[in-house]
Amino acid sequence: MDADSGLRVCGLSIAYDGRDLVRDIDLDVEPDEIVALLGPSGSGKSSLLRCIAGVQRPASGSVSWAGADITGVPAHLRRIGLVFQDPLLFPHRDVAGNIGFGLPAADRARRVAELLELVGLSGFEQRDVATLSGGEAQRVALARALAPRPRVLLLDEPFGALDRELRDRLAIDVRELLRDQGTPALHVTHDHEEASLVADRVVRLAPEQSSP
Amino acid sequence: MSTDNTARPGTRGAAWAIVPLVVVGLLVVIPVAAVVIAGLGAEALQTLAASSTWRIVAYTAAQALASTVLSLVLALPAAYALYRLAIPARRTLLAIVTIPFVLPTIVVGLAFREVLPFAGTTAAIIVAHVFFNVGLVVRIIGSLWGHLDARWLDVARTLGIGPVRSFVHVTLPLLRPAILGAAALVFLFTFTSFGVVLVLGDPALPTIEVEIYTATVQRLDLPAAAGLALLQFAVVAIAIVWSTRLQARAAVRQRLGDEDQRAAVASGADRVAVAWTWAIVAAITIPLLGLVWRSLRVGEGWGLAWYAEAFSPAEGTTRSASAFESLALSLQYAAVATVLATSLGALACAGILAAGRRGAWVDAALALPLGVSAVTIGFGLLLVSLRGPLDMRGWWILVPLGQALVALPIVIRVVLPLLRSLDPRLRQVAATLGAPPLRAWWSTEGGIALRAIAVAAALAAAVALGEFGATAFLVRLDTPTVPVHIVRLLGRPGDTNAGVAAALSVILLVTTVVIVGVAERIRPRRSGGW
Repeated sequence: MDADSGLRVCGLSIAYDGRDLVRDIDLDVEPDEIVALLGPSGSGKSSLLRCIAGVQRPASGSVSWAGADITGVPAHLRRIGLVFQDPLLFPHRDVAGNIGFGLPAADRARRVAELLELVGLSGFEQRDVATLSGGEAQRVALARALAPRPRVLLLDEPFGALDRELRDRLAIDVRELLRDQGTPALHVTHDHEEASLVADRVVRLAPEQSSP
Repeated sequence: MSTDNTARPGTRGAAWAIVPLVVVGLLVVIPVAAVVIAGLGAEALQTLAASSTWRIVAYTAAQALASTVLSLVLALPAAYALYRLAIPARRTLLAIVTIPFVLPTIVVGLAFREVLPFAGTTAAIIVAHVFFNVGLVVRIIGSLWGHLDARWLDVARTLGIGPVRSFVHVTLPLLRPAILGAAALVFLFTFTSFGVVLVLGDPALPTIEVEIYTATVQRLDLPAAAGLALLQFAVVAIAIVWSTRLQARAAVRQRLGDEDQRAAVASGADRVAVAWTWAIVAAITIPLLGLVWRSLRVGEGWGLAWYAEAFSPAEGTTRSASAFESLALSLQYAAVATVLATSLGALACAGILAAGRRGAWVDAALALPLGVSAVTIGFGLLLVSLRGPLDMRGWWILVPLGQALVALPIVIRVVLPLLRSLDPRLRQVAATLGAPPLRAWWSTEGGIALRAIAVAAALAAAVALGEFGATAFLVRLDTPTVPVHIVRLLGRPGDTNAGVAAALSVILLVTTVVIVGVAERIRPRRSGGW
């Protein structure tokens, strides 16, 4: 294990409302692996991902990528993608407008088409996002997060709102997609089945490290 | 009121609304029709051909547009600071920012005359308009902004979009419905603005409203006034239709989060927004303080001489009234107007609610006076009283009637959401929790309904007291209300007149603030809308 590559989370502690939410987390994601983080709901896994992505400040600890400390780097410069539980697709833009949101104009159309094909939604460019089903919306959200080629992708229970069958199918698709793009990922879930389908390695959040 | 749990919409309940509908019909539609008919006469149409007419229209639109844009730009950072940041004294700041909107236009006009070195110019009008409307814009845009899901910006950040681009490409589009709605309202208010332009504007550059007034009152040129009124309808109607369609297209179905997601002040931009807000609050208080200062300045020293003058029951001459007489008269008119507006408003709300889905039509019909300017209402009533079947010229009731008509849409706008939030089942729940019937009724439906009516009465009183546009047409020379009297005093030279005008304005200012403050206190919390 090379200490100078991949994502390193060291001693991360997050507080909420004065209480400790998570304490002293250490986590590694190699550049070529997909890690699943298992833990019960409400144990602070979302906050953990938000701190890694940079949209929330941890109380203490550090986040680094390829040996460089990025704890102080603002979120929009970190190149760490995040897929939320809700697809959160921009309602004022169509599917192509959403996926291409983070992209420079030059290569946009081509990249959007490429990603749509990879998530199995070819031809959906002009669709109104309000007309998409739950599974379709989440796939568009996934494509959107991958479009700017993030260094690592964080997934926060992305299939939580979907039914069992869809969830398993999407879990396998996501794994293929991430491998295809060569993107490492940290996938948070409370579902063992999903974790084993998606990930190379499963990590559990130890009970003493979180106080729900 | 209903004995079962299910609401029963239908025409039977809508019968409640018949009285207000008839009244509004008679008192707004007929005068408006009178204006339109007069405006379509040959003489009036000649006015439309005159180039001076189109210059007036263009000027009115231009100053309204400038006022709107400036109001929006100034309000945005304040809306952010007051609705998305957790700052100390937030509610006080919000209250101060909103106060101008409820102030009588004459009071504001006078206050700015004291304070602005450039009074009597277009710039002065625009500044005063922004003063009035920035609070309205802050609340309309801020309410939506406060409910926006904070995660939208997180999404943008994780996609590599920086703060500025996020604001332009994520926040602004999501705020578009509120921005358009606020812009439409401000444009309408400033396009039909009267008191401010009369007191602060360049006399050589009238707006449509002012021109209607001077044509009627000074030149007795009714056809010209009617032609202009018709033009004003046209512009207002186009603006309303256009903005409604824009807003419908801009509306996005989005899940709104809860409010109270206010974040701590973090970035430099946050600090600028807070400083901006304080600057606006200071800018709002300065003219008002200037007015108070002027009212206390007697000759070279200070004192309450002007107030003494205002309250002393001096006899007016046969041609004009004393300040005290106008105060007394204003109160009487306002009392009658309040009773009229509140009872009509209560009936209207009952009718709208009972009519269920068809209530929307009643609601729109009764909102007509809002879209029709106060001047037009006054002018229309005047036309009817002059040319109609009855000679109503001397009727005392005309003034409070005009004031009530101006107040009615506001009353309905405020009370309807309060009443809509009533759930008859609440009473039953209270009963099962052991409250005796009367107490259950009081603390749920009855209490809220009564408080809603009290709020309506307070607002109607405030509007009636400060009303100028319609009243200016309907009062007779010897029976002015306070706003009309103030304007007359401004037209006369002399320190006494200016001092008394200032004192009267401060009295009106304080009364309005107190009434509206009381109304805010009575208002039940957790009501939708403003």
